[in-house]
Amino acid sequence: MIGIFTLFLVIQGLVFFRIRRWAFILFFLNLILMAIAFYLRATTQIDIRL
Amino acid sequence: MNKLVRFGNATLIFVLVGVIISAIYQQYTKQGPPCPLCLLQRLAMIGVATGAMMNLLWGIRMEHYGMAFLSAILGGSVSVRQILLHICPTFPEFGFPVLGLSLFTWAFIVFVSCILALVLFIFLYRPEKKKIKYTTLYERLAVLALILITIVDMGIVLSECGLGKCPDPPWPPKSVPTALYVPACRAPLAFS
Repeated sequence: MIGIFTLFLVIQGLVFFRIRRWAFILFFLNLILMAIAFYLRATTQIDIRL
Repeated sequence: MNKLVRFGNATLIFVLVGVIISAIYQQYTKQGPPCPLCLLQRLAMIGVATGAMMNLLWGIRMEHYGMAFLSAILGGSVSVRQILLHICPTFPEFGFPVLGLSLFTWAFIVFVSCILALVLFIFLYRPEKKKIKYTTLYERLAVLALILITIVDMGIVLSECGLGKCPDPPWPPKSVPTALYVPACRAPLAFS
């Protein structure tokens, strides 16, 4: 979880400094990580170590 | 009209930051450490707000709304999952209800409201040749509030979960007698 939070902070920094491409890529990566975390939690009750 | 849309985006950020602050307040006064699904809902709220932040700093574009929509749909799914886990009548409540509804039910209402608000912003937006290049104080404050709440949330998660996985809430909760459970409705291991 801490990794996803940190990644969001990085994305906000990138948005702030107007680095467009990496902000989009990291945003998508973060959404995928969140979806994986949700899937693992829903199916195996395992909390993702991120 | 586009100034109104920008104002709406900034207000959306403030509302989401307010919701996260109230969740943190609940966590520290009544509820104890946040559950993994609650953390995912907070992350999705930050995602929606980050989409709105892109609109404020980079100008209004449909890609930014797309990001916010994806986050809202993901967060809505997570909160629906948590609502369904607690749908059995004899199933104990998780945490303390706020105005009669659990926090995860409120989270679902927030995500649906976010989607409706984003749709409204898209309807109101009119493409203009002359883009607005400046940000008002209100918009800057919204961006600052979002960055600060992300840092605070990160600190909370770091202090409670460390660098590993977050601990599960205790199951079964001590406050409810075991006789109240209906086996068919019981969650297998963890309930949130």
